[in-house]
Amino acid sequence: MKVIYLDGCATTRVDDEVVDAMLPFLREEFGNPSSPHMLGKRARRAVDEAAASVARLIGADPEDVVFTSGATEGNNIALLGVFGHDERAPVNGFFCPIDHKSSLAVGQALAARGLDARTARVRPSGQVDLDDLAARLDPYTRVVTAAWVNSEIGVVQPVAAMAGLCAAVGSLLHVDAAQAAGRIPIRVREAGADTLSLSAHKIHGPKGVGALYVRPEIRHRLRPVMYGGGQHALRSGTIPTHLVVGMGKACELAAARLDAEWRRVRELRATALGVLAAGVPGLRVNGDPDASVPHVLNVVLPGVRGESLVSSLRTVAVSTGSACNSGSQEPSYVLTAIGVPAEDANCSVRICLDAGISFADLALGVELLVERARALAGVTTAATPAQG
Amino acid sequence: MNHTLTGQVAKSRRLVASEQELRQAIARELPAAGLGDLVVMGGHFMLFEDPSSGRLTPGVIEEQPDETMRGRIAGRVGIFPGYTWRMSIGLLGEYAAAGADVRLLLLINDWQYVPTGGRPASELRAEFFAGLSALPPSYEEALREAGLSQESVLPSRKHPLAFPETWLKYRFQKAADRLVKEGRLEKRYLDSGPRDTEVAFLDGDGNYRTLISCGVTGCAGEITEMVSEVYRAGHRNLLIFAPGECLMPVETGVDIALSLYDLPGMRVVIADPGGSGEMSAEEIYGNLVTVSTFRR
Repeated sequence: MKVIYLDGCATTRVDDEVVDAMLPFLREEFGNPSSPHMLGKRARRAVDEAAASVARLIGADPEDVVFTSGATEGNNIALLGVFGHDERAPVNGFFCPIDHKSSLAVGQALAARGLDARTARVRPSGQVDLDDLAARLDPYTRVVTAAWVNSEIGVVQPVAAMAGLCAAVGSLLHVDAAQAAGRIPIRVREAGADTLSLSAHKIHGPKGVGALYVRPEIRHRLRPVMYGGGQHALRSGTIPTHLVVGMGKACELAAARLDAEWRRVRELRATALGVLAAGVPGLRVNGDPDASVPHVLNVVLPGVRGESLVSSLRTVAVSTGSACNSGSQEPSYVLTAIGVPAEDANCSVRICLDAGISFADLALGVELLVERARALAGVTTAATPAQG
Repeated sequence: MNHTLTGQVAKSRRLVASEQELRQAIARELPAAGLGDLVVMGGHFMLFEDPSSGRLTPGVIEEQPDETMRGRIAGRVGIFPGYTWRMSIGLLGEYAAAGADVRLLLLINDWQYVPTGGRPASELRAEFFAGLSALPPSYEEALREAGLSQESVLPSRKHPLAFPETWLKYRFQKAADRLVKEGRLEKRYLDSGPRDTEVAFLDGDGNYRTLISCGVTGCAGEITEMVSEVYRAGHRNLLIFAPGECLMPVETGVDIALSLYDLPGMRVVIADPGGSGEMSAEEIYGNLVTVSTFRR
């Protein structure tokens, strides 16, 4: 059964060219990049080339790239590592309340250790309130973090402006760019980010590999969170050559396709919105489309509980505005943080658009979603937080 | 299959792709031989308003002669209620033949699609449960065909045939007040407003899991209470057939019950065969069915 996949913020299909690039390093080129013999050297050369591809995508130097298992690990190294060095009270850090849990959970862990983990204020668009941030930063602020592109509503954060505020007080700025890579141009030097994490599987690369950019001038302010053979000072562990090569290829493709894909996704978004608006009375878009990437479309379908809709769609993959990980199907913390009422958040779904989808498939997928939403709305008589 | 241990509760989870695989998974988790007691929660249904009478009626396709109502139920939950009821009865027969003391538990969602306009929802609910002196005819018939009777149904302390969800929610809210005072649950004020609170459980992994938010008890809270009631009735094994969209809150409720109420020896297996409009076994298992086990 063909599934129309509209959940590209969760993961993406590995590109055929990426698979082709990886396969030799699973078969004949299986050397350990740390080994001194020929097989090892060839693997090291492939790793170095991959680092160069990653660096080109974000405007960095290859030696500033640390390979990780994904953006979650990158976020942990950056956010824990900065407190692992010269940890003397008072210190504080700012966390963006709509970020991925791999950042927020680090904030909670730091708070549990007694550190002052502060929550940045966000506007209804989802963008960090720069005035508020400027007023609350102080010389003891060790780090500020935000996702460049939010995974639920697609809002783009004013990273350069945040970097300027951080630099003024001597704080570092960490940016989670898992959803930004391949979607918006990233020039990490110009933007002023000190550390930046990436994930390969969000850009048609393999799962299980990512990268952390560390500005060399601040490298000494980070301590590793995991120790071992010292393959890289910040991240020990045997380098998974095939995954790293896959990531390099995915970054190379993403960089080459960036502009064309942006234009195409904007058209796809217009198509999806047109079908949705025509089929669902009272449809509303969460967040501010003008401040967001076109790849993410988060909408309220009034009277239709997102969880019911998503679980009953057979051939369309989307995700909800509910966060079941709390166990009670609570409304998404991202949506409620930007002021979406809980009832609307529970009736929200997220559609993530990939430039590779055809207009026909997209239209069909959204029509099926609308059809199912209308059927569910037909039996709804009241606000319906959850079936039990 | 993955396996984790949270505090003193061991958990495992697997996916199955056919009814045969589901039965095998259940048999592995709840082996008939030597199983002393078991409660099977099957046939769970929602109440819908019957527009012709203005009364509440079971959201079970087999119970509805009216095509409009059948269509509404099909679109919302599909064959889940009748399918899981029949599967539960089949299992009951097999376990009883192996010497186990098995009872059925009928959980009724009496709030989600109960109208809030017109007559008060509480009045509509009370009227429905007062009139529920027998199981829905299709449920009764399935029991009879298996050579069983209503005696196989575990009564709740609220109703001789059913566990109403609003009753469980109410019970949990009362219990939560006591548990907060005892320090076993935590009441926290939310950033959204000075009067907004939530009652949460700190699990073995150090995560807060919300049970009551702004006075509203989530599904996890009511399931916590249901597990406690089953334990109180003397049963130590529970098999739950829950709709797929409810799996996570049901899992959370079970996890919390086993930790919060200290129920030693309790084992709960949860499966989610459909419940989102699937109209055939092929559809149900085509989506894959989760089987989770919790042991204390």
